[in-house]
Order: sequence, then structure tokens, then C-alpha cells
Amino acid sequence: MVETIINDRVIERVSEIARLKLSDKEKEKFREEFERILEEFSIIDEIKVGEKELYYVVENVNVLRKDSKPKPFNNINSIKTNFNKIEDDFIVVPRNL
Amino acid sequence: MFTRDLIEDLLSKSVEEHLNKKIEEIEKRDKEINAFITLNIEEAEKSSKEIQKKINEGNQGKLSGLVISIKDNLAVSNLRMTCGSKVLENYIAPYDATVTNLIKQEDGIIIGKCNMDEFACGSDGTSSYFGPTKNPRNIDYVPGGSSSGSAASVAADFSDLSIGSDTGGSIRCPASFCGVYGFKPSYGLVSRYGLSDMAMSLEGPGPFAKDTYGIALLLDVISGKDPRDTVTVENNKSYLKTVENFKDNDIKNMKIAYAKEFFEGVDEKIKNIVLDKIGMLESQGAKIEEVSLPNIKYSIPIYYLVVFSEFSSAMSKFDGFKYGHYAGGQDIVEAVSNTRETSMGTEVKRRVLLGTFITMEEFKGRWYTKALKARNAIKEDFKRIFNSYDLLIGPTMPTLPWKIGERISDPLAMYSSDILTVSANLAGICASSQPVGEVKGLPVGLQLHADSLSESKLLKGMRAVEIACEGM
Amino acid sequence: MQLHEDKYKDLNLKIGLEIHVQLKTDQKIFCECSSDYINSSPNNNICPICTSQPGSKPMGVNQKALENLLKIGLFLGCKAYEKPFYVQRKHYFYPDLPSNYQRTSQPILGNGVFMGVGIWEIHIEEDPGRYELREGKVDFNRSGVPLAEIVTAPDIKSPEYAREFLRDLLLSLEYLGVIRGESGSIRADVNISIMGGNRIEIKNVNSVKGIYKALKYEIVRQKAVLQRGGTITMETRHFDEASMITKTLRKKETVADYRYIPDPDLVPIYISPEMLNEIESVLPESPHNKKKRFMEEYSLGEEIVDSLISDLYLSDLFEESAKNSNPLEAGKWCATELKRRLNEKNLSVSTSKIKPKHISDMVGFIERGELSVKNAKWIIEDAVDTGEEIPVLMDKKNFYQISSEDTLIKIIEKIIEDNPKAVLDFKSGNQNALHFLFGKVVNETEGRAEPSKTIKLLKDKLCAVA
Ligand SMILES: [Zn+2]
Repeated sequence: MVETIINDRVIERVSEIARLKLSDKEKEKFREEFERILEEFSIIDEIKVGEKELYYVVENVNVLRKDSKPKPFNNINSIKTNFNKIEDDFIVVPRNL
Repeated sequence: MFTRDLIEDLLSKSVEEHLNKKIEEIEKRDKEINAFITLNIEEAEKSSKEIQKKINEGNQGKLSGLVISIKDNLAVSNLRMTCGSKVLENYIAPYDATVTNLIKQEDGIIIGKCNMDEFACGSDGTSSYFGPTKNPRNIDYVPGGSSSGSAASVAADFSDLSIGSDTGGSIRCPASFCGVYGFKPSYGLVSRYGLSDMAMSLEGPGPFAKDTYGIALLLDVISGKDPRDTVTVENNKSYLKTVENFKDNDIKNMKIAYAKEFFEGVDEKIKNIVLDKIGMLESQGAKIEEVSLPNIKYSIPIYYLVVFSEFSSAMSKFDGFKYGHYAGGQDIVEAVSNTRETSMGTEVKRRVLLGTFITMEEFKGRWYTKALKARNAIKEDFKRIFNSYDLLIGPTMPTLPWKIGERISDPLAMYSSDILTVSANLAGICASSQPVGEVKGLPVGLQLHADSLSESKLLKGMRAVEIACEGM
Repeated sequence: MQLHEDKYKDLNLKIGLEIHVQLKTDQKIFCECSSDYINSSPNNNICPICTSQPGSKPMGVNQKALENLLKIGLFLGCKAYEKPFYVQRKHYFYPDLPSNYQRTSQPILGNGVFMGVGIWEIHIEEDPGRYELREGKVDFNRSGVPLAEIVTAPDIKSPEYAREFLRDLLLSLEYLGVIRGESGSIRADVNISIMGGNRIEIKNVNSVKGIYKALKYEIVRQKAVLQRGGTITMETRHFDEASMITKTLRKKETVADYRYIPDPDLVPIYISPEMLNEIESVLPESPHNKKKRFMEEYSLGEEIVDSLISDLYLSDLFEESAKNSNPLEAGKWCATELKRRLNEKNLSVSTSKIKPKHISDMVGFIERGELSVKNAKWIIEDAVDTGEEIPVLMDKKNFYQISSEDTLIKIIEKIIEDNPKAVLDFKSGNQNALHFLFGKVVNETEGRAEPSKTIKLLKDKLCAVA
């Protein structure tokens, strides 16, 4: 059994945090699906696990980079071409008053 | 060897002609197959002329005019990169991925960008915003995903080689379904710089080809340490040599394991074909033994919990301001929420929401961190196996390709098809798929695993299976 | 100044700071763009990495940025943690944050003290771009500039001390050569509680002055709430630079769950003992050691030493001047009058024209009786402002004291002759007459008569006349 009950309030909050607007119908659909998926996934509780959380499968550590003279990117205009709206080289976004 | 002969052909005949044949093929059949989202004909023709000149002068690169398609989640400078999504429908990549760069340097001709499941979230190639890719072997069937267009373009002769990406089987699954060779390199062997994220700790680019030679050739080109990807490692780039120097005798020294868990729930016909190949290897002197991988049955939940978490993080960047689809709204909160609502597909939304949920402070310990601990257990399992064996052998997919549209509505059914492929990604090891037979005209793939950074062993194994199949 | 300001004593003020400073490097933290984002038109100091283009990955952490951060930590008396640290992703949506998560490391060093304030921890992170919220414009030039975040304990007890602490901290970091010097290169989140009440966080205050003003405002506001019988609820507020007041953030903006995860694109970093040793070997003497040494070597009092070491440029200037003058005097002048003038003028030793020779010369003049203490205060101001040499200033101001007995006697004799009535008054026991005559001598010499000698000679002469 899933002990985390995914209620409407939680779905609401998830949708706010993820900045993903959902219709009421979608909320209900996802809520039901998530419970089903997580219930099935809770079989991971059966595995005997140690304390180690595996974040990286490579052994690399301390990959640092020497500071040196800046190397400006040569295709800045192509980055700007993708801006949704541009004004005096600024990206225009809604105001926040 | 097919790819080697092809290169010899290119050196003596015309690169431009070869390219034109591919273009003709694409024009004829891609309307139906839908392997490409964006074609790069003009640039391809330009570079074919340049490469021809180099060949004439005798200073061409390793790929010497081979036609290569690239999955549409890898950046090719000044070419559209959609990731199969409405989100990036009009996004022009301002830079080259490291693999793109290396392919260009070695004179590969980039023919176009391949169709794929939206943001690589899918296992059958049908969730692209630009329509499903169809299996060139039978267009009623799915080509497998998420690198659907890459596999299809090689299978349909639209390209000689292709680059896909593999997060949990996204190269091996379509390779298996379309009947081509697909290779998932060890994590860190190939730079991920320029590969749009799905789950960063699991994935990397890898090659598709029609034979082991093609895989090794492309692997020599794209592998190596990259200052733009901190997880990459140094390697000696001698894969092609390994394949060329392969002798039948090599197989006698191989210790190959098979795990019964990798055959549980697998379609009987697939099972039989794979077991038959295992028998052939044994008769040629390979040492075959059964081992147990008891944690495999947990790999799907572990894998998807990691995927959801990392994917939801990676997808945050799409707010519509800097690039991509933009819906607008009164304030910054609404503008972003509207943008994401109206541009992301159902499976992408599902993963973003679930990933957000399981990494929230109050649920993180229950799901995200737990999955990471379990992931370590899987890695340990494989470490144990590869302490005693060179290779682990089994089928790539538990089923044959299914009909288009069949699994789209049930996420759990879709997830379950990845059961045999995700462990390699969880453990960071290398794995391959190659065609070893067919059932009712639908290809069957055999999967090999080798330890992390043991690519040479894996290629030898692939070559051995390839030779075994040649006698069929 | 004390940590405990008497006027706030009853309020039980607890102030903690999360201070962000930009680390000095040539390139940004995860890409090869310039850290000098100011001299570039909007969105012209950017690349795929610092704008988070799909597929881009961070490069390895800029080593210089990390070294500079370690210097800060060690200088503030912190210890580096022994286990590897991750760069984490802190998720929140904001237009200046190209990934909509900020890369920010786990604590790298901790457990330090500076000016009596505990330093909890220090970590490294990336600066976001800039979002002009009133105009709705975004510029990513700054995105990816390396930042150090220094988190203090809530040990600060007054806005005034917060200001002094920050000013001196900035000076020290500048002295170490580890931070970018531009104005506005300090930002802080400020935590404040009064009367043991709930903690209020004020986000993103952009200058030392702003931090001071925000604290002042918050104290008044919270006191008013409490006086009306209200309670302070835990919340995050925003400081409005224009109106100098703090405002509640809208609810929508506070719905956040940072969902920290280690960034899968950045492998862990382990600070080795060798790395620390190397940095320690090039680090200037720590304030703690300097304090001990100053007190022993120069026999200076603790208060003077505290003042000197709070500004390392000042302590250097002191040591240099003490080579050629009495250290006790030089120390006193540096710690009090010089520091006062620098603060008044909003200057530091490095930005003003003051040199060690000014102090040693001045102390010499005072000790030889050629300069009065009162005039010395004027001299120091001029030296700070103009940088002119002390003898030149003495001449210009006509500050040379008359201490030659012959000269003084001549003047005294003249005054006695000119003021027979006062002499008679003195003889009849009126002490005021002595002051009157002394005043006359001072006037005659335009204030340059050396006072103690003058009094003594004047008394002698008056008695002789009798
Ligand atoms: Zn940059």
C-alpha cells in the first residue's frame, strides 16, 4: 500500500511548484494514475539496501577547470534569435510589480 | 563487413552520388516512415563536395563521407532541435553538441535530425509531437523508442549510421525492433554535451549501424574525455582495431553469463532465438554459465523514480522566455504555467509532475533517496557478475514490436517494456543490441552487457554473434 | 563599537546575515564567458551554458573561484569539511535564473568567527542574471558569475554593528584580493528577530547601506506590531531600495520547495589537505594571530588592536609607520583619528591618499613638541584628503609649536610689561589672572605656544617680578 495519499491539495501544490497548469479533469486523471504507479513502485521496499545513495556511476571527482582568459561565445546572435521577445537586447518578460 | 566495404566504395567512387542515393530514398519513403523531423540537405550537399575534395587529396577523416543522421535531442549548430516536442518546435540550436563536432571533424555528412519520443519519454516512438515514426520492416508496427528515427533511418537506408541516446534502452529498443545494431556506451565514455536532458545520471549518446564495424568506427569518433562534460573519461579509441583484429579463436576465451531473470516473461519465440544463439556461442567454445540477478525485478521502479526526479529538474528550464514555445500570461507565474501547460505532451507532464512530487521535502526520503539506495544494490549486482564474467547475454526486448497505438494509454504497460534494458543504465555499464533473427517478419534483438568501460569486450562479443549469424 | 548596543538592549535583537559576494575570476564559474559582466551591453556576455540552452552542461567548477572561497573561509577562521561536497540544484522559477534552478554547493567550510560574529558556513554558487521587475526585462550577462555565500550566526545585536561588520568584512575580502570590487557586489539576505519572536527574512538587499536601512525599518515595524498587541509571524520580506522599506512578498511567490538534488552533471569535489595547505601558505596572517602579535609586539591595548585589525589595510599602514615612530602613539592615531576620518569620508586606506610616512612623521612632530595634539587632528584630516607631506601641511597651517624657552620668555616678558594690572591681581592671589595672561600669550603666538612650558615659564616670571 502507498502510505502517501495523493490528495487534491497535494496535486494542486505539485502543479504550482512545477509551474504546470492543470484542468480539473487532468488533476483527477493524474492523481489516480500517480497512486497506481507509486503503489506498484512501492515494491522497492522489499530490496535490502545499504546507506549509500548512488548519485554518480563514475568515479570522477574534483573535475575543476583552470581559470584563464575569457573565451567569448562566437554565436551569441543565434542565442538571441531564440528569445521570445527582445527589446534593446533585453529579453522581455512580464513585469512583477 | 558491410560498413568497411562501403567506406572502400566511397573512397573509390563518389561521395556526392552516395549522398544523392540516400536523399532519393528519403524522398521516396520518409513521408510514410517519418524518421526525420528536420532535413539538412543543403548543408549535406555542401559538405559532400568538400569531403570529396579531401578524399581526392587523400586527407579525409575517419568517416570519409558516410551519411549520418542525428537524433533530434542532440544539438547541431544552426539547425532546428525539437526534441520531438512542441516546446522546441521552432528552436534553432546555437551550438554543436560534442558528438556533432567530432562527426563533422571526421567528415561525416549530417543528413538530418531524427524523430523521437517527446523529450525521449517513450519506449515505442509514437509520442513525438511530429507524429509517430513507423517501423521500416512493417509500417503498422512501432519502431521502438525513444531513438525511433535513428533506428528507422538506418533500417530504411536513409543513412549509413546514426547517433541516438540511451537513458534506459532508447538505443537498444529501437535497434532491436528495427533490426539494426545499437550500442549504449558506458556512462561517461561519450560526452553528453549538447544532448538535451532526460535523466542526466543515466544517459549518453551512442551509435546505430548496420554492423559491428560501423558501431566501432563511430565509437572511435565520438568517445573520449570532454572538458564540457565532467563525467567523461579518457579512453584509447581503438575500437575499430578490436573489431578488425577479431579472430574466431577469441571466442574460446570468453566467459559469458546469462541470468534467468532476463528470460522471465519474455516471448517464447524471442527466448528460443536467443537461446539458440547462446548455444552457437557455446559450441564455438565460449564458456556459458547461468547466474542470478535477483534485483532485476525492481529495476523498473528504481529506474523510473530516478528518471522522474532528474527529468522534472531538467525540464524546469522551459519557461518560454529564452527559447521555445511561449503562451504568455499576466505575470511571470501565469506566463510560465500557461507556456508549459500548452506545449508539453501527456507523458512529459506525467513525468514532470511525478518527479516534482517525489523530490518534495516531505516525500523525498520515501521515494527519491530510497531509489538511489536501491540503485546502488543493482550496481553491486553487476559488479559481482563482471568480476567473474566478460559478458552477460540475453534478449533486448521482452516482446516483439507492437502495433502503433496499442500501448499509448497505459503508462505502466509502456514502462514495463523497458525491463531488460534499464539495468545497464542504472549500473552505468555498456550494452548492445543486434539483430539475430525474426518472427513473422519482425526483428529480434540480442542484448550483450559488459562491465563499465569494457567496450572492447562487448564489441568482441558482438562480432562473435555477428559471425555466428552470418552462417544462418 | 560593541556587539551589544545599549539602545537595543531591551529588544533582544538577533541579526544573522547570509552574505553574497562575487568571487574574483577571469571566467564565470561553469563556462568560459567573462566574469566582467558590467562592461558589456545586455545579453552580450553569454553562451549556451550560462543561458542553459537545451543540451548544454556546466563545465567543471572554476578552480580560482574555489580557491578564493577557501581563502575567505580560512581567513575567517573556518575549517573545511573533510567529506566531498556536491553542487546541488536549488529549484525555483524566476526569470533571471536560466535553468530555473540555481547551482549551489553544500557547505564547504564552517565554524569560524569574525569580529565576534560566528560564521556558520560558507559555500559556492552561481549568480543569476538580472531581472528588472518593474520593466520586465532580463539580462543574462551576470548569470554564472561565481558567488560565495557566507552565513553568520544571529550574533549581531544592532543595525550599527551589522553595518560595521559588513564594512570591515568587505575590506578584508578586498584586501585578500578574492572578490570583485564593483559597487553593488555585496548582497545579503537578512534575518532578524526581536524579543525572542519569530524570525523575519529580508531577501536580496543590495548594499551595506540598504542592509542597515532595512534593519532599522524592520525594528520600527516589528516594535509597532508588538505595541499594538500583534504578533510577528515568520515570513519572507522584500526590501524596496527606492522607498527604503520592507514589504511582504505575495503569497504566490513564496510557494516554493527547493527540492535540492545533487547536480548529476557535476561530480563531487573533495578538498584535500594538500589543497588547503597550499592556500594557507599564501594567506595573509589571520586576524586572530595578528591581534595576538600586535598586543605582544607593540604592547597595544585590546581596543586599539581590535580597531586596527578590523581593517587590514589599516593594520599594514600602522605596522609600516611603527617602524619609524613610537608604536603606541602610531597605533592610537591609526585606530582612532585616522579611522574616524576615513569612515567620515567613506574611504579606506587603499582608496585614500594616506601613507605610513604621514603617521610616523606626525607622531615625531608631536613627540618633539612641535605639533599640538589638537592640531594633529587637523593634520590627519588634511593628510587623508590631500596626501601632502606632514612638514608641508605644518607650514601651510602654521602649526609649528613654539617651545624654545628663549622665544617664549621674550613673549612672556612683553605680556607682563603690557598688563601691569593683571600682574598685580596675580600677586594678590587671583588665579584667574594667570589664565588671563596665558590667554594673552596664546593670542600673541596665534596658538602656537607650547602650553605646559608656557604656564611654567609664566609662573616663574611672575614670581620673579614679585
Ligand atoms: Zn557563458
